[in-house]
Amino acid sequence: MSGLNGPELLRIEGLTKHFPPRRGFLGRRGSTVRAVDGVSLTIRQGETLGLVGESGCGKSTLGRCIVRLYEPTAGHMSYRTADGNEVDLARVRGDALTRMRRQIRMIFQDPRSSLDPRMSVFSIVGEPIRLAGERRPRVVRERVAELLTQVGLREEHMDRFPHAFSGGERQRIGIARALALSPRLVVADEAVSALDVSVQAQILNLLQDLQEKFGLTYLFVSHDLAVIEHLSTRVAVMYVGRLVELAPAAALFTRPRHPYTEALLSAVPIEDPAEAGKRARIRLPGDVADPSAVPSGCPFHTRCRYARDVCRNEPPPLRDIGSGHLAACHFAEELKLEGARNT
Amino acid sequence: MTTESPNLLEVEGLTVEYASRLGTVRPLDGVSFDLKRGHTTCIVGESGCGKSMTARAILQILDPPGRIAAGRVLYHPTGGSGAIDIATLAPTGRHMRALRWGEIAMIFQEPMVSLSPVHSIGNQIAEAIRLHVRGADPRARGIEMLDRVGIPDAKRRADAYPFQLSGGMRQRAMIAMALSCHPKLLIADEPTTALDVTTQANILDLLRTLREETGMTLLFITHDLGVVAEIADEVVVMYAGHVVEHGTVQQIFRAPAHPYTRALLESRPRRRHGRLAAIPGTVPAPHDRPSGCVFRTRCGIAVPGLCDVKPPLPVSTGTEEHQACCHLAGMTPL
Amino acid sequence: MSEATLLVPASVTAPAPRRTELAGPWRLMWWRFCRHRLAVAGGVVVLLMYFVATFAEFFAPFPPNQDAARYTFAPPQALHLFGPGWHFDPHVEGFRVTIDPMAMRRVFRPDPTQSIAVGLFVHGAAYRLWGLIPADIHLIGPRDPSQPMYLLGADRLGRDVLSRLIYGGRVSLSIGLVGVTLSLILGIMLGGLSGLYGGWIDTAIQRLIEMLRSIPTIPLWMGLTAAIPLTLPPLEVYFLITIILSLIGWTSVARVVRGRFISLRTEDFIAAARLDGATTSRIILRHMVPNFASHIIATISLAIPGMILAETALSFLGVGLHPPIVSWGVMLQDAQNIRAIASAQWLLWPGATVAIAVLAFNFLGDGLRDAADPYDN
Repeated sequence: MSGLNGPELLRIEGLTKHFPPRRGFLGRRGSTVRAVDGVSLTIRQGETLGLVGESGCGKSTLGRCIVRLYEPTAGHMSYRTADGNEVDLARVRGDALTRMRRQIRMIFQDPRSSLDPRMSVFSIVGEPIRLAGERRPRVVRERVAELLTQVGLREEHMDRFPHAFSGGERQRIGIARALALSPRLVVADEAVSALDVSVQAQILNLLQDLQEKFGLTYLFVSHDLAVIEHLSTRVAVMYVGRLVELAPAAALFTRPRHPYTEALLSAVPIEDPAEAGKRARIRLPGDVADPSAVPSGCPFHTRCRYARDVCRNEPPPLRDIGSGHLAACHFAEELKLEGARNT
Repeated sequence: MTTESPNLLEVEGLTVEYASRLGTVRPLDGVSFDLKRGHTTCIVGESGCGKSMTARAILQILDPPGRIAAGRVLYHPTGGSGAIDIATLAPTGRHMRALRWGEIAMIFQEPMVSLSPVHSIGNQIAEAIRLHVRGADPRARGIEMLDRVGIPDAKRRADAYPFQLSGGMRQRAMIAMALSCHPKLLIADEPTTALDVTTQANILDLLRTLREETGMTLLFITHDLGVVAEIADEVVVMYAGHVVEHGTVQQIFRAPAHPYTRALLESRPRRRHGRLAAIPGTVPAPHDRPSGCVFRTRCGIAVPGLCDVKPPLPVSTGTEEHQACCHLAGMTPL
Repeated sequence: MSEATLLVPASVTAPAPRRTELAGPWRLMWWRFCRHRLAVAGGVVVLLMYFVATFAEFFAPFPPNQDAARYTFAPPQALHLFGPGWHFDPHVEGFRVTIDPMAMRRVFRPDPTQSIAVGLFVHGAAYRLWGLIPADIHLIGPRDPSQPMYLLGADRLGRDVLSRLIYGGRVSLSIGLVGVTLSLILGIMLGGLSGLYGGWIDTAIQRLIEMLRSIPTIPLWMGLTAAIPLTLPPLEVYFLITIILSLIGWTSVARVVRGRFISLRTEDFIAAARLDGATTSRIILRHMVPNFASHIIATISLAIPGMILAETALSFLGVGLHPPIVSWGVMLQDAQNIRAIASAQWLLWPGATVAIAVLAFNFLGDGLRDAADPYDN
């Protein structure tokens, strides 16, 4: 697996997505929602980049901007195609966009609403194949059967409808649909969050197997840190539309460099009753910041226990601390932050 | 002289059933466990296991056509004056209404759905106090409770409506409402599932603190094993309407005796890379449960001729308080 | 614990698939619908009515405008199945007519000595089925077509009420269908535009709908139908009436369609279709329409009785259809006076048939609406 040292597949620079305030009858209501605010990161071929954060951080919006379900307000997304060309995903349109959407696919969160209830599994998984130009029914059927077997279902499931399947099985169908055209990059938008714990494990195993088999690159968006840690080569932490830390998984979890990451890791319950009582948890005052009312300077300064004056006035840039570890904190080098406990 | 029972609540053989086109469906089948006074007990299980329904059955707020078909729910009030079988009380009767909120309170998963959107939170708390506590000033008490659960500027916030508060605040308001009448038992049905992890941490701390301060018993329902490890003293593991194992939290995590508990613990990602030990198959639907042991279709060590014939009875493994419903418990090396 | 012990072959755990698992969503909807006894009964009644209305020429004993001056306001004749001696001889008894000198009107009494034989599949007045196929077989009628057979009585011109009821049903019931089709087309188009694009298109269309719905319907219809020239041939009047009725009727369809479009727009499977490369029109036709088709079916089955009632009301008031067209509303015009209710109650039969039709449609529509929810397992 190329992982950490693979060639660049997607380079995102300054991606911004703002949602304008709703226009009420007598004027504006609410303010601009800065869902994604100047995010820059790189996804390397063969790796799994975990994207983690709490509600309002913009991780789902970022994923949807990559596949152009949302139109970015600003920024570039340089994608390197299979034949070596560079395409700006933020600008591409028409047929070129359709072609890009075959190489970059998405797995959705909710197994209940991600499959059309009126279409058979064959139609659902075969749709991208047919829309890509393959008209011969026999060929489509064979390919769908192949995909279903690869995701752990059976060929006879093709003629059934989504209501006949459980949540985990529907998610497998969604994965089969995502893989139908042999993509290179898959954005998994909270792909296991709506599943039971026992089923989550099945799907996580499946995703890992498929990655190995087909050399896929994943952008795995989730709020569940345990799942992120399990699956990711590198992890990106977002807070209120900004990227606050980006590092190889092991480094991030043992020695984070941003106070928010530290607080996040501290808040995750430990699945060991002996350890659970021992550690002092960092309590963050207030609630998760609102993307329509972003604090000045560093957006985390209102809740950060290390905040100083400079944090209120100047937004910290995302800097390279060393060995591929990026953090957006004025004091990233000085602070001695605690990671998740070791077992 | 009657000594106070160490258990606040004893559930024995609780069975909830309803008739459907597909026959009699039993979402809960013979559920038994005890809640130790002053302790936190967690019911853990996946969707369809019946944990929420157990809570609703205790408070007799089951959705019709479900009804308690068998079993007892023995409540031992503080002061040792004998036990009341809640299951025999009329769901809308005077006794039950006095019990609800006065002795046993509940908080739910989605505060947006469980708080009335058209009343201010101060109003809602005051209503509960008015119904259960005599001689108290409802509004003042309400503000005091909101302050206690950590809502800043409680006096002003009491007039806020639920939609004006964040998720964490709403859950705190819900907790304030539940505790306003000083219940002996608080049932929390997945209260932090819909919250962010940092907010969840704060709410768990709050619950722990309040439990220590008031000495109340906490029944915490969740599917998150991490939360169980953090907060529980005792654990009850449920699967498909049955209790499959119960014991102290150390026993459950250190030495799980039931294959389902073991599989559940193994299937969580835990700082090890590589494949997870996933449980194959899916939870059976309530009308479609296998004969004999309900877990046998997904169990790696099911023995044909034994596990598919009769349902397993609770077996003690090690200590009296650690029991698992498995024919093979105590026989397989852990 | 080794991983092998946790693996169980899939064939052991997978039970045989249930009928419901193999069925598609339309079949599930059908099964759910069939469980509704009342809805099925409503559906049967509706189908029966339309069947009779389609073959009106065959089912009606007499042409609708065949008058008989001698038998004005004749009461219904009871159909006897057996003659003297208990042999099968269906017949009705003729009338002995006397004139009441005080009230100056005819009094009809059944005369057992006059036995008018009645048969099935008799030859009667010639007709052209749907104006195309010539025939003269009637389901039931007097063997001698010159004899009177008023199973439901006669009206003020001596015309057979039963025959007029059947022919009137054809007009009243079909106006419902045609009107609803027009409403459907308008409603889906405008509702779809509204829901799909939102913005000012949505605002404009919704305000238009609200304006139309706030106008009192009966006065509006009266005003519009009064504008129809009296000299227009009946068929054109008929179509103009249906257009006028659908001018308001489309608003409820549009609202339902808009609501469904808005809720479907945010569903993940629509986003997935867009990512699969589907064009907007394909998304609408292949993904959105099947997902609201069941709701539309339920809506129109509840809109048709509204149309039927509207036409009946307008014709009853004299501003809708008028003779020589026969519809239930036109027939009720004759029942507008106290004399009808006092002495010729059978003139009120069209009211009963309207009520039965509307009830049947309502039961049918309720059943369809309950069956339409796709997520109800």
